[in-house]
Amino acid sequence: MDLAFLLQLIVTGVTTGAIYAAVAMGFVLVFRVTGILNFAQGELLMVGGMLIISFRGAGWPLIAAVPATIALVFLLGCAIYAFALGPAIKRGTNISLLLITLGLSQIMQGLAQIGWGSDPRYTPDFTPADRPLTLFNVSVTSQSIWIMGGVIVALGVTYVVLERTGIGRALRSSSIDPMMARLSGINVRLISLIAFGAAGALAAVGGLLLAPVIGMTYATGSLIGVKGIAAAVIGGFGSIPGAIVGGIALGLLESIASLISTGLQTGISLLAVVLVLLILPDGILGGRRVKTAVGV
Amino acid sequence: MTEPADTILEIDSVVSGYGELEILHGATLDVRAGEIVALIGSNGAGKTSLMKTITGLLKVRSGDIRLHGQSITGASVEAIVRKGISLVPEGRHVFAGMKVEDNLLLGAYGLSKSERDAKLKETLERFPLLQERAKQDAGSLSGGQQQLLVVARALMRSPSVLLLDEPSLGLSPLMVETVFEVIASLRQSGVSVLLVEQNVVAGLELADRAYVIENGAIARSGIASDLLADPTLSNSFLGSAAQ
Amino acid sequence: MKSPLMLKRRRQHFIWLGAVVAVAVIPLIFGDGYSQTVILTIGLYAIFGIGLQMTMGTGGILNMGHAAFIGIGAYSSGIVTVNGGNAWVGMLVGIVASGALAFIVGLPILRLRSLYLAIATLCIALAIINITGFWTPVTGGQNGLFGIKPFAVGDFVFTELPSQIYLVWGFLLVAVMIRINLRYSVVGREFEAIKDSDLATSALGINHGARRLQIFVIGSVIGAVGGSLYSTYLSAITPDLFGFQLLIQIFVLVALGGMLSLWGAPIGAIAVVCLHEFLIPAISGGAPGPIELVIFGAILVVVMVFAPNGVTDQVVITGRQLLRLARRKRRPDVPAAPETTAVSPNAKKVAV
Repeated sequence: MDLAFLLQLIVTGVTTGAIYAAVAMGFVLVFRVTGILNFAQGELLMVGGMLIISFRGAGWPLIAAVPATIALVFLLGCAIYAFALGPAIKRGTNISLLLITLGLSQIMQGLAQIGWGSDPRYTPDFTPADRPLTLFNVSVTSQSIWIMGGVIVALGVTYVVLERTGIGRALRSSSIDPMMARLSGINVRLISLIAFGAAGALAAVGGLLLAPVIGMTYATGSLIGVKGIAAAVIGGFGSIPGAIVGGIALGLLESIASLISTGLQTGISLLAVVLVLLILPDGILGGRRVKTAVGV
Repeated sequence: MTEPADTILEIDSVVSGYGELEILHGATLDVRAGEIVALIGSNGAGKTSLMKTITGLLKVRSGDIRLHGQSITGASVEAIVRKGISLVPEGRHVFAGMKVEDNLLLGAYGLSKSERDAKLKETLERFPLLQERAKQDAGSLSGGQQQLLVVARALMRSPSVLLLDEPSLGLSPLMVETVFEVIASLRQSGVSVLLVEQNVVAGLELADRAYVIENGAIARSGIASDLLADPTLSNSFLGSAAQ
Repeated sequence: MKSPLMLKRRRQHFIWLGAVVAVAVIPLIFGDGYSQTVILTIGLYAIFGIGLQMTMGTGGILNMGHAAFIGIGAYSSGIVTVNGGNAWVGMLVGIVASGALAFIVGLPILRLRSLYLAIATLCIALAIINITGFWTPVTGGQNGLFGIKPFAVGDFVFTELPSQIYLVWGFLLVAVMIRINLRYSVVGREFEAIKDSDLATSALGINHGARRLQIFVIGSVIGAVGGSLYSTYLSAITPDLFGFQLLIQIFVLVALGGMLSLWGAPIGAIAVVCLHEFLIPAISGGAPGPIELVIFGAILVVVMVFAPNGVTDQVVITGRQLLRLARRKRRPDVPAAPETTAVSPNAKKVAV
């Protein structure tokens, strides 16, 4: 196997992995704050992708379409909590809450199919180029640079918000000790709502960056959602570095699996995730999770 | 005793409990400006439930709780905390995994940034122990340091009333002394304290007044030193509890 | 106190068994093929549902791979009979394969939280569907597997609809027996205890992990048996039959039927099959597609928000509450809340 080929695999893997990392971070945020595993996260990505396709189709420039997409999916994330999970959380069990998120994913898929049809929808690259950039015999498309850059910015913003702002401190404290967070004057319900919104925004970033690369359909989100969860699992379900490591590890795994069979890429990588779960339940970053999170 | 005019916190025939279990059957007490009030009673008498009810963690089923004469009954935990009641619950509830400094800032959550920063500076000066460790993970502190951090965090908001539930539980004797010194110093800063203390003698020595809670209602009350000297109380109750 | 309650419960089961017998007579009354197809489908879904309901309700495990376990049963029967084997052998292969897989996947129950198991089963399920779709020489790939042969006893072959109905409903009966036995056996009581409190049962020394693993395996095997019956009935299957759509349908089934009710799975099966066959086509004017996604999704959301244990369980709980309220009204001297005096022996001592 020559070096260029290997590098090509890595570039492909990291690009896909970046998308998974964004979705995974959303899962982690929501899970850490509310204890809910939101299976509708992938559908939020799909809606993000569909929205940017529609906005750009209507002639909006990126500078308007991107923030509008992120804002709308942020609100959709909030709505999921405000109207379904929030009212259910007090009496809910792990199982009932998870089924609610599954139900929401089905509703979103159905409505997307009704609103946007069943055929794949496309949108051009953000900066269309005649040919991909070539470095050391490795070709990198302009959109994959957008994807990697976009995800880095999104996770960077998430990091700064979590570490440096009052809302970030409130989010983290709610995930560590919800009762004490309330006793510190934090409205934990509002913080949960924000966590869902932020997860929506992260998914939207993933969706809008991915839209030019694939034909987006109502069903696109469900598989990517599962991959996002898988990435979160690999990363130990705890931190931003974990989500990044998990996402990229999964992306690379798929890249490698595609060597064996393109069709079996999903099956092979998901089986590998199950192996990780069986052998290293805390993810490949190991004990980090145990140290930082109480009750996760 | 001072006049009732400077009463800060009034608890008026409060009934509350968990689910179908009623624990407080009409507790009545009050806390006045700048005093330390001890709440004593055996396990299960309702001390912690009373603390939780005052802060809104348990719902008031009947009766009324007033802060500065205004009813706070039925308000959310967050609202009650912001109105000026801080609870330091039993056990050391630091936010492990977050810096000491961030823990303190959370105590002032909702205040403006300038207030927050000023308060942080003031608190760190007051607790040099925390100043040294401001950038450390709160989870890495010793038990006593953690308890100090939780008390300091509760004071970040300059509450009118500080509720302390078993602050000395499980601390080394030296650390207990430090924590009690901090509590005693609150008199000067105008913070009223309602204190639950399993070490009844120490609690009564620290307090101005005390209430004895039995089976979810106040059984006796009085000047702390009187209660401490009362033979009936020490026979039936203090003897065993004071170890 | 327990025995009269149990007797009452037992009586309910006889009523339920009577209902099964009644349904078994129905194919003789409804002669037309369509009605019989619906009745057969209800039986199949009830078997699918019992397996998942047990795992979720009693074991407290969210198995996101149940549809894939059904698929394992279906494909085992399919592959064996297409290659000249006997349908019963196929079913046995399905039982062993699904049981073994459930055991391996479920092993971490011993140390992992239930959410992790949900993720693991989901990943496994998608991997199975994916691999089935591409392992063409054995599974027929995306085009599916054709010519699956029906069950036979001696010279009698279950090809006609009525005989297939009896076969399916016969297995359903067995599944229900297993469910009832599990519920009322010592093991079943332990399961209930596990659900009530993790802490209390660990204090009793009951090993949850092992018990939950057991129920997860049994539930998956019941699903696989259902799958086996399904594929021999259809005689042709494709991987996507066992994907998300089926999983959601079974979740809706359990949500409507309740997580614990012993008769919940058949009730849920009737509801889901009727929705799928009659109501949704009536609303959408033919093609179910997106409308079904929305309606099933909405049912899941609404039911789980308002009745986290499912509809029938909620009905039972609410009924009991109303009954207690009515009794209390009749005898006003009975205190509204249970004993609320002394909380600890210590407190009593102080009071005296």
